[in-house]
Amino acid sequence: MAAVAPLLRTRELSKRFDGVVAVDSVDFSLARNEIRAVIGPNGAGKTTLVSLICGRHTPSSGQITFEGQDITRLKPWTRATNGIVYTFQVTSIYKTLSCYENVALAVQKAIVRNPWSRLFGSESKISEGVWTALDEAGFSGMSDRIAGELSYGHQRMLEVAMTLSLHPKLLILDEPTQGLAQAEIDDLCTRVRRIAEKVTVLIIEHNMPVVLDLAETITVMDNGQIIAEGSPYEIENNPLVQEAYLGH
Amino acid sequence: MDLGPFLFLAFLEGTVTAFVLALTALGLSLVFGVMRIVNVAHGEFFMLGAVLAWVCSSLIESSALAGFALALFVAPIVVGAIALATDWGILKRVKYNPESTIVATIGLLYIIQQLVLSFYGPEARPVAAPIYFRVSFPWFGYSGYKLVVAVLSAAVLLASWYGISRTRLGLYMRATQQDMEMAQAFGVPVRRVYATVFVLGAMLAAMAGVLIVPVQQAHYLMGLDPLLLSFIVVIIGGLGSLKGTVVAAFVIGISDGMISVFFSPTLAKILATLLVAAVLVIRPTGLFGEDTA
Amino acid sequence: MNRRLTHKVLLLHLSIVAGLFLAQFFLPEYHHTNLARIMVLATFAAGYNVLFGYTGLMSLGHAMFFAAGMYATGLSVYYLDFGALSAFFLGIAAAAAVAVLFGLFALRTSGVSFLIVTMMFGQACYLTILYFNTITLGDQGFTLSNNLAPLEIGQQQFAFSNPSVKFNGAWILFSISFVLSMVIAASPLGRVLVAIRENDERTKLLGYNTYLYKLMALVVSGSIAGAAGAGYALLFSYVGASFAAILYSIYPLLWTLLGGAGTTLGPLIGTGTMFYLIDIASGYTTAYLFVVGGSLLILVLWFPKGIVGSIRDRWIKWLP
Repeated sequence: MAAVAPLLRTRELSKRFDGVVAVDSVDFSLARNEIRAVIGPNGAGKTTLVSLICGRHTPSSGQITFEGQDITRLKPWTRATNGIVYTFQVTSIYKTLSCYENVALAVQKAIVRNPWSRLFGSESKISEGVWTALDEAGFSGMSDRIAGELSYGHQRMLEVAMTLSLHPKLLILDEPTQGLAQAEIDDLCTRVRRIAEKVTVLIIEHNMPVVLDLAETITVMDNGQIIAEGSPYEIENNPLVQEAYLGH
Repeated sequence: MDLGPFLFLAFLEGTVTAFVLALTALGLSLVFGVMRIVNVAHGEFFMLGAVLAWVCSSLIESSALAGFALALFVAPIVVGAIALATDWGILKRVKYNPESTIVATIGLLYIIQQLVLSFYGPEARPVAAPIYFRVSFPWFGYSGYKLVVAVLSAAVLLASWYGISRTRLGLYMRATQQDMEMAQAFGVPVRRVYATVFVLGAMLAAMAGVLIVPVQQAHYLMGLDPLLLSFIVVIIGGLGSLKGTVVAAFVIGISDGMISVFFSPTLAKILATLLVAAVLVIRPTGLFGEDTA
Repeated sequence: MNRRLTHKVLLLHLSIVAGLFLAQFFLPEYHHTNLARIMVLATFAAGYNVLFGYTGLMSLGHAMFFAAGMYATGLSVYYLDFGALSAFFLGIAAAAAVAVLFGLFALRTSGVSFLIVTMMFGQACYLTILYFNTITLGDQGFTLSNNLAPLEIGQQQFAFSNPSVKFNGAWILFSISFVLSMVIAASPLGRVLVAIRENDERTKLLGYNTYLYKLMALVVSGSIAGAAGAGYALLFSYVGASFAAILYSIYPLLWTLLGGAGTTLGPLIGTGTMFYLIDIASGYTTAYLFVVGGSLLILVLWFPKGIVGSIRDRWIKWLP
């Protein structure tokens, strides 16, 4: 194990739904600023695992620590405020709101602190942040477009822009390339690599070329358990993984 | 009179209430369970049953029994037809969206109330019991008809249980309740199941209305209380569950009977609402089994 | 679509406030009284709109907040000889307290369950008022005209029986709720409320404590509704249980839907339109419940955005 304390660590983390064990006593840790991919067949428990990490589900047993703090019992919004940010498997933006409003919701989260400024003021400061984020994501000129009317690729990018505006420490990307064209995937990979200079990225992905390209370490799950962990090369040549997942 | 007989009387009253309540609530619960919508006009279906019973009894004045038998037949059919029209003309059009359905059925509630008010009038009208006999206990006599109500309700509940657990329709209903899309994929005619459940739910309420009217009189505003009590029963008993509905109806019916006899019916209803608040605190997400993160 | 407080928005709202004020000098007596009543009821609807229109939480029990304001104000004047102002603020405080208490329970549920729970608590409040009829005088209610001292500001005395005092009291009440709605709608707070309406789950994962925001919206909404109830008791000098009955929970829903949920102007337009619809209908028939029921059905089936909502969709996109 590395000498540096991990950013995130789970200990014997389990989640049962009506008797079905979705995540089974998982010990998992993430170092700062790494790009980690979690792979595994459908129903292996990947999405449940990250849902436990970001607080969408509460674990049946076990413990989660983030930056050394026990966060097992924290509400999802507190975890998001602490820097754990999750993007949904299926794009989840506010489809009826404009791009500006979508990003503004993320930007103001970081700016607006006291109740009074929730009501009055600070809109100019929010606005500044929104324009910066929209420009960076290549959305200038589209701020008034209703998000639901954008192309799927653009919706995905908008979601990433929102996510980054929250200034995450740990960014969880759940199947980010799903439904994207090859050119959009390449663009996304470049972006993720740039994000990862400052942020730890945990990525769930089915697209193996993307995983092998991006990840420094790969974790393989099956039946709710971690069955292997290692560099892309090690994982590719692990017979257990090949049997469970790669289907060779 | 001592406390004992008094308690016994309250218990009897509560039991009768519970049976009728179970019928009404079962209709609401089935509709909610299978279709995931709340029918706010459910109480008005109950009221229509009672009013139609009065109409039938005034058509055949010579025999209370014949009028009652006619009502037991006519009221569910008329109310069922109204429900079918509602499903087709309103619910289908708003695509069974829960909020739109609620607003629409509130609209229906006022239209039905106004219709009854305009054509039937604001009076509360009594209907003679189809059979009259008194069961004499050592301490007091008790209306035999109320016991008949309990028996008839129990029979309808049994029939419902049979329908839900032993027939093809019941199977379809349970499949739709579990997972609507999956059921559709397996060839369950979901649209028709919806219409049928909505009609059956309304018929159950109408039947409860017919049964209660010799005890309670028919009035255009009588639908609200059974609606709210049914909500309470459904919240406590869980959605679409016949067993839960019956058990909860007894808990609410008998405690309602007790508190009504010893204190006041108003207090009984206030307390029942507080009971619901307590249920919410104990199992906030368990209520209706909705998923919340 | 950037819901900011632009000059255009500000100008529109201020001119409506000014227009309502000026109306008292032109309107014939009958409509003068009507408009005063409409403004108080529109305040109720504006409160409702904060919760339903902006936060997306439909309540079927808002009469409990209106009644809480009404009874706290009315009873304190009737029994304790409170002055108008202190009774009014007591009314708002009572409604806010009811909203907090209710929210702590009811907001633990969501969706359809929330609706049913609001309806049941609303009914429990109504029954409670009836149960204590020795104090509340139940369905009959009571009038305040013998107990309520005129409001004194400086050397001036304002008697509530004076139509002009009624009108301007209603105007102040409505204007405050109207401007407050505008400020909320354009604020970062309003943005979060709309986000909750559109997607609660997503908003949680953006780091917002949605429970707290919903509670806040409920308390603001309930307090405005309570202010309307308190204002009604003072200005129209009557307190009665019928204002706590379920019909008075349905009315604000109907007014808001008709005017346009989630628009600042909707409550006023909806309340005014429905008031005159019923007023005109009652010239022909006593069956006014047809108007209520029929309007609800028509709105749901063919006109879900309401008047102002449709105008915003088609023509004036910047309406908040």
